[in-house]
Amino acid sequence: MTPTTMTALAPAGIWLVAAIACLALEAAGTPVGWRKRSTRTHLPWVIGLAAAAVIAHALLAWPSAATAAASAQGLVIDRIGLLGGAVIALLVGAVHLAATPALAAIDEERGEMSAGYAMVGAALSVACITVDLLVLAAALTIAAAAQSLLCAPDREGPHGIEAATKGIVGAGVVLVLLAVGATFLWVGAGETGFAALGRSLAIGAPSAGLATATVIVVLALVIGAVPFQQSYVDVAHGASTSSAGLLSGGMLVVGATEAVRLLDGVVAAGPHTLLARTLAAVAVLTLVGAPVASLDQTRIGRVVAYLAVLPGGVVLAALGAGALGEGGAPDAGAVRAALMAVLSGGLGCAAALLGVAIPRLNPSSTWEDWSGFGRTRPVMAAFLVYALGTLAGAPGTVGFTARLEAARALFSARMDWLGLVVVASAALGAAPIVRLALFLFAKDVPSTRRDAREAPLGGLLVGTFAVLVVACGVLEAWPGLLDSLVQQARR
Amino acid sequence: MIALLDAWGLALVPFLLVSGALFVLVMPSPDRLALRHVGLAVSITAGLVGLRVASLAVAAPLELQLLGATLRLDALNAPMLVIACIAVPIALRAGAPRVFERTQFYVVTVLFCGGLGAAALLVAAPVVKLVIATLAAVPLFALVSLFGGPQRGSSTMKAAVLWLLVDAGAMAAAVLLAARAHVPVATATVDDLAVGASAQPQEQSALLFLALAAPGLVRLAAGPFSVWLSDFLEQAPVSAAVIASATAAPLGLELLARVALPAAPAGALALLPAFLFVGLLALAVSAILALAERELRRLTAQLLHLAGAAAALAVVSFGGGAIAAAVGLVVAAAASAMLTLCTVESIERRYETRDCVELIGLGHQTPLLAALLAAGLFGLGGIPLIGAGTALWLLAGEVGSGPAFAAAALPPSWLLMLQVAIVAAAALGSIGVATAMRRLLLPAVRRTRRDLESVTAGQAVRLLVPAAVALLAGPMAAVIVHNARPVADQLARTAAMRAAVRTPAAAEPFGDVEDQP
Repeated sequence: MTPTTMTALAPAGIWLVAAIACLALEAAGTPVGWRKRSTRTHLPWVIGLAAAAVIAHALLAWPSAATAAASAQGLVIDRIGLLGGAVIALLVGAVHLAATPALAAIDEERGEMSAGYAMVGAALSVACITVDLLVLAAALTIAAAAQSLLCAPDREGPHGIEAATKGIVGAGVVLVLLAVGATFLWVGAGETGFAALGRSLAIGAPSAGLATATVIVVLALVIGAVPFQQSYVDVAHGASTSSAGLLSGGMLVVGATEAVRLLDGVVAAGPHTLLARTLAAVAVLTLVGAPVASLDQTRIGRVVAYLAVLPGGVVLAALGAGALGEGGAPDAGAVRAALMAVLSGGLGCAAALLGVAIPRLNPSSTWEDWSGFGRTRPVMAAFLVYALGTLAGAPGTVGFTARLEAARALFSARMDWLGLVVVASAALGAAPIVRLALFLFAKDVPSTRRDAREAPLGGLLVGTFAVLVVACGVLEAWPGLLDSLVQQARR
Repeated sequence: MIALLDAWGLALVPFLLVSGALFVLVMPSPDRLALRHVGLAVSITAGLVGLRVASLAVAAPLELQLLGATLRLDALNAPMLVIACIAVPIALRAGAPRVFERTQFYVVTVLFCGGLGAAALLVAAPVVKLVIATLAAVPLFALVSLFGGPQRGSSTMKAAVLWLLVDAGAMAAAVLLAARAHVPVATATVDDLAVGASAQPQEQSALLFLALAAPGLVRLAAGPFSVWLSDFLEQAPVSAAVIASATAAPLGLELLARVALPAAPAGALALLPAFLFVGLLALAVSAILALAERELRRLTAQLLHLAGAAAALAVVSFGGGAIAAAVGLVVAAAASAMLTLCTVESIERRYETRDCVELIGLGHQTPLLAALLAAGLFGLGGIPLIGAGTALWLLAGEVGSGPAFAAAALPPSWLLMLQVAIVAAAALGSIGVATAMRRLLLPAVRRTRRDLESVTAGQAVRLLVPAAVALLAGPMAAVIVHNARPVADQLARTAAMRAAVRTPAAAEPFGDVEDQP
């Protein structure tokens, strides 16, 4: 194994060690004299340390990753991969911390649950750094399987099993599609990497188009783009809120980083108009369809799940402009905009889905159940509205800054209509949030729920949520922070 | 040093209001009175600073670079800043007696409304201006949703979605034009947007102007863009109603005259016949509805529609005098609306109704309230020398001097029709007001709440503040129009020259335009 491969796989290795440690604490590794309950209190520390280690690894490897280095195993160490891994680590750490109260209620297999979080982190970290379809298929399948294991026993509502089933089915579809795509690619180019895909497209190999189409469908499934959103939305709605946060943010990061790598491979052979149009069409469907569908929902979990696919739409729109890049590389502005959308969307997803958990209503709760939450908890409600605004890209949030950047890239690429849709659809995205805000602030608390509303909130959950929302606010107040990070990542 | 402080005063107005809101938010163990007093102190201080910088800006434009953004105040937006600043303490005080719970939230939202509204008026960069204008709507709608009437949810939803849609459309258009001009979105100036617009195909110019003008037209409540105002005013608490009429409408005019018109003047010219037709229709409908309206806040809304439609038509006439008159009209209408709304609030607290028919006898029971209501409503209705009347009549005269009608090859009869329509609408609006007032002055006895049988000295003083503002606004409107005229002339000349370049057929009527910057 080369040093490049070792560096690339370090985050996954850290997560695997953390998973083993969790399992050990749960079962065989209980030290003499310790009761199992006391060992379980160390589980959040294990996950937290692993997350910190992955972030530290990203910081240490950042200077040396200025030039992308590919390994023979289809892995690549570059700054986008490091950034993606760090964001995923942040999500896993934050989400596990937030899920601790729910996990504490589980008598058995708590260590296994924590190990599941670590496995999702490991698989998504690998998915972020691969340029090979087979490795991507393996990583996504492991992530989806671990995610489904997390969904099923959460028992927060009646939709956990449904979410787990949909997750497994979705993973199966992804696996089959990627296998088909890899086969077509192998037939045409003798390899299964994104670079080979670009080369075979350039020479007009007949199987290359089919392979590209399957990869795009897979990425749309991963990001939850309309019309491939159903599995994503069902899982995000049915899963416990904490694991849904991980799913949404993590999958967005993976889908976007892999879309950038696909673009790198394809555009290396020249601008690709068909790819640009395809990405644009899916982006428009997502940016317009998801908020409209969201307005039609009655359950808050589904409303938020539909909003969670919006950053993916912005990413796809930006990359649509990137596909028209000249000089053998995607347009730098487009990739920059896509990365901004990824970071703001990932943060917004995690914050919004944690915020939804704060009132301790089940995922099937409706608009009416949320009535008056803003009257009893105005700060938390305002934070939730802001987090959802970040997710939907409402003006005044970092999500809107990302939309503006994407629009700018699209206008530069002469895709005016798509740029206009990207900015104008912010109003559509904000419409369900306005409706929710009215339920939160304009309505009185139902008398049947008054006592429940006065119950204390979980400190860890509230703290994590508040930190994420403040982070969103800070990025909006100083957009230069996000911009410089993104520019360095692409350098 | 004093000059430096004066320039910094531009930033101080929004900063005082926003930081005051944040202070109120973190005040330790705040009681209701302390919160109100802090809010009033902050807003009055901001108002005084606003008056000071506005008086300087009338003489020479003030400009300040702050955190990469340019703040600018001149004779055109200075009166609008002043009225927005005056509205904050009046709104805060007027709505406070009915707020018993969540006073902290109430004070914070009112201060935020004022702070963000002032910032949106001052910021020069059009995209930033649009974003701040959108954000300024958030506390306004929060006020309605928290303290509004029984239908507050649906009316807020309708208004908020409309505002959001037009704002997002305008931002999309502005970002497109900035990209075409190859400048960063956040720092793009109106001139950059105009450069971007000139790079777009000619047939898109009308669409671009409509997209850029829509946020202004919605806030001005002009023509079909006014669908939100009646329901909003009916359901809003008095504080939100005062802020909507005193902050939103001036901001709308600012967006229309400073962003949409100079950025896409060719589009304005292309759309002029449609604007004229819709504007005439809007004036007629508003005036007729005002004739039949019984509910006092809805009557106020109809009169504000009238002023908004007239102001919008003045802007698209490309006449400097007309634009200056529109500024005077919007400011004076805002002042009269504030007086009307505060008086209606006092009446409603006593008689628990806003219906003219149910309020028969008000003139005999509480003559002070009836007199103040008459002053406010007639000021909105268009009687010269009272409230908005002066500016409206000036506008009717000046709108004919705008070169756009000739440039758009409209027959002179249309222009005459427009001037007649403005005057007739003002007259009909005044007749509507007179009809309402006649009912209130009929002899009958009304039952009031026992604790509010007569107007106390304190209440009278509180009502006399908006009354003084409204009564001063009438004569002041002429001064405002006079002062704003040079800036408006320059603005109109620039827009006309750009339109002439883009529309060669229209160049001749704009031919005497000089001093193109």
